[in-house]
Amino acid sequence: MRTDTARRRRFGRRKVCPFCADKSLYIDYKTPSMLKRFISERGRIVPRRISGVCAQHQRQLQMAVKRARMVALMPYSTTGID
Amino acid sequence: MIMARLYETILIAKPDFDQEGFEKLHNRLLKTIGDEGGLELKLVDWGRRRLAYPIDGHRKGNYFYFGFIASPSCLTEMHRQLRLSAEIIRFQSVTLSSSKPIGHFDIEKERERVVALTPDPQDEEEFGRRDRRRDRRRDDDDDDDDRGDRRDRNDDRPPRSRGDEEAA
Repeated sequence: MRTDTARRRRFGRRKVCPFCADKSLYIDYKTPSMLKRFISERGRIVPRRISGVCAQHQRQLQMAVKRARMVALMPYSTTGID
Repeated sequence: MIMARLYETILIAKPDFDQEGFEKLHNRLLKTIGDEGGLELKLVDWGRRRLAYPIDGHRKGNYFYFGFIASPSCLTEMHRQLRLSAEIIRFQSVTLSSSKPIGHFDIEKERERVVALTPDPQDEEEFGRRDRRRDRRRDDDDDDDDRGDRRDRNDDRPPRSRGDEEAA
């Protein structure tokens, strides 16, 4: 029990998958503004342990980001130098 | 009976692509698809957008969204033609439905679906109000150099979500 509460405190609030929380959110490669939330400054896909996205939606997200990259709606990488 | 699928294709044309070129492209797509009993559902011009990275030296491209019903062989033929065309610099097709006999498609329903999936080119969030304003102000010439439109580092990027709890 003690370890449980200790762990709670250390890790804080458990994150909820934003796509499960809001069913109206549709993961689409054509909407980069939405996908942008889930990529890092460098353009990499944020791991779900950080973003809190569930496995199912992370898979869809991954597909969408890769498709968006293919049609230059999103960058493959960003160095800042351009 | 021809089996077909619902597809959507994103086409990126060169930045100097004009209305005439657009009509030519449209007719060609229609012909390719129509030849095999396919059907156009929607063709949307997204306009000139900045590419996330340069393609063949171009920094901007004219985007088109094309939703249609066609047989797989027809799609292959369309791809072949797009590859041959000099003004298309990139394209990508995505399958939206499983294979069905062409008569089994509820055209109106599928069209509605395709329309619902297409972002509105007027949508300022999706199509970067900011970028467009910049275009107007600084890169008005019709060349492809995109000077003055270069984004600053970290420009219009949302604050990064930090995974600080986990990192602790």
